[in-house]
Amino acid sequence: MNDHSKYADQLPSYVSGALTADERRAVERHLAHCAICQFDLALWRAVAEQVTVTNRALVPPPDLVDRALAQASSTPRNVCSPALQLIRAQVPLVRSDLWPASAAVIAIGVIVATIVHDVAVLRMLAPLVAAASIAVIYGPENDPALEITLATATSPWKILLARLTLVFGYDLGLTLAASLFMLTLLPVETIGRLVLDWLGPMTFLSATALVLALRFGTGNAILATYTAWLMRFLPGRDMAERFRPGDISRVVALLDGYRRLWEDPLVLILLAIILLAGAGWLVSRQEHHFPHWA
Amino acid sequence: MVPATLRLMALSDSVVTSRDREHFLDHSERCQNRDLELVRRIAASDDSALRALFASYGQRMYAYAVRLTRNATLAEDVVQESLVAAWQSAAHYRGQGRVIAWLLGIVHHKALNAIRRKSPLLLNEETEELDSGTEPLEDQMVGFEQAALLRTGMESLSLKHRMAIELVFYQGLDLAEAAEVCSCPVGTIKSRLNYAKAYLRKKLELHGIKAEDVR
Repeated sequence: MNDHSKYADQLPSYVSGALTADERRAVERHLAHCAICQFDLALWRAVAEQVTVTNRALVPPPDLVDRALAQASSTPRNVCSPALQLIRAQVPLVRSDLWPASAAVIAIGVIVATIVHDVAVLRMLAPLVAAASIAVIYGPENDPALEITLATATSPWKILLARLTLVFGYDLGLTLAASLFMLTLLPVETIGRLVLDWLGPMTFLSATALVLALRFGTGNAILATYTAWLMRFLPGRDMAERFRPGDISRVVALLDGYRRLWEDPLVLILLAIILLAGAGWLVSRQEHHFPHWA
Repeated sequence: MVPATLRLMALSDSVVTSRDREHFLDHSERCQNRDLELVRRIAASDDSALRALFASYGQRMYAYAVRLTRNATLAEDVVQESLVAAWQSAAHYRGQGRVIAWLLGIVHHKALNAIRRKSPLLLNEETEELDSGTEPLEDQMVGFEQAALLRTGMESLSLKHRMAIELVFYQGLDLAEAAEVCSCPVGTIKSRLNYAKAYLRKKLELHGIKAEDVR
């Protein structure tokens, strides 16, 4: 930013008296030789005067505070922590079709797994459901009221985290319930293994979907995460045989490595945490991603 | 309480001296300490503290609500709900920033929710296109003409641009505080103000008032 832009941006604060003494002096030094800023200053002063004149005429009814106190006395104080209140406030704001859609897909997975007697169906579906849910929790294309939501005294990152907690918690609960139901097919002692089998991929895929959705849009995020997840199930050796013999071992090793990545829940959760930090950074730069906000 | 802008503008027509400025800052600090004490008493369910806070800032809260909702009745509801919210959440207020910025943040949130419920079209309003032929001006006196044009120009701005102007010029918030109230980056407030400036400038020019003629 050049000096002129810097001082031009400070003029509203100069007029409203919000600058420090040093900042005021610097602005005044610039004003002394910048005709454009002098014109801008005159305009801002005229605007400030009009705003003040218009607003001063607006007087609230004196009994407003009595009404508020009467209402407050009949309303119990919030006992929930602000974090819990924020999470609760997101319920009506995320896409309403997300809840039944996720539940329906998991229910279908449970039914299919029960019929075919194979819990692999649940292991495959759970990360996909979570990734799709997380990809639609944020951004103007999913939330027409996002600007309203963000116009609260809460940072966008906290709003994103609250929604993430809410939606991921819901998916986690759904899949846990489905896993418990799977105990009808499995010995009780295998439940831990089953949960770990989907928890790592689900966390990593959700975090990936979030970052991709923030950067490239929901549709692209879902497409990319689904492709990444389904590639895990590619039959490595069969695929490799389609290539020239010299390439086979390299392709097989690549696919095996890719498959192993999805089998280590700790690595996946660690990667998910890194991706979430990236999501926070992207949201903090939201004006660049949603240019129509400006 | 008189808004910051008006107080400073009253100090001097052109330039506020550093002594005035220091005096003003001392006064602000005293106000903040008093406000924090009021919030602490509100958290302890002291009715008189809420009344005192309303006496200090009720007009500014109401003015901001009216400017956002463009509806006096709705604005009353918004301020009432905001006072209730302040009453209920005072215990969670951690003293970060000025109390007025906290109150305006609540009003902002309540007003936008009220608009969404009752007049959702307002949320999607765009700044009106400028058209030199739509506004016949009867008064040829430049001062009145300029004031009228600025008033109508500001009314024609979209909600988000009006919010930035109100928060900075009437409520006396600095850009960071305005950004906090709107929960957007400071750069967004700057770009909204710049857009508003360019729009108002063009509106004046369309009626023959050049940049150097603005008083």
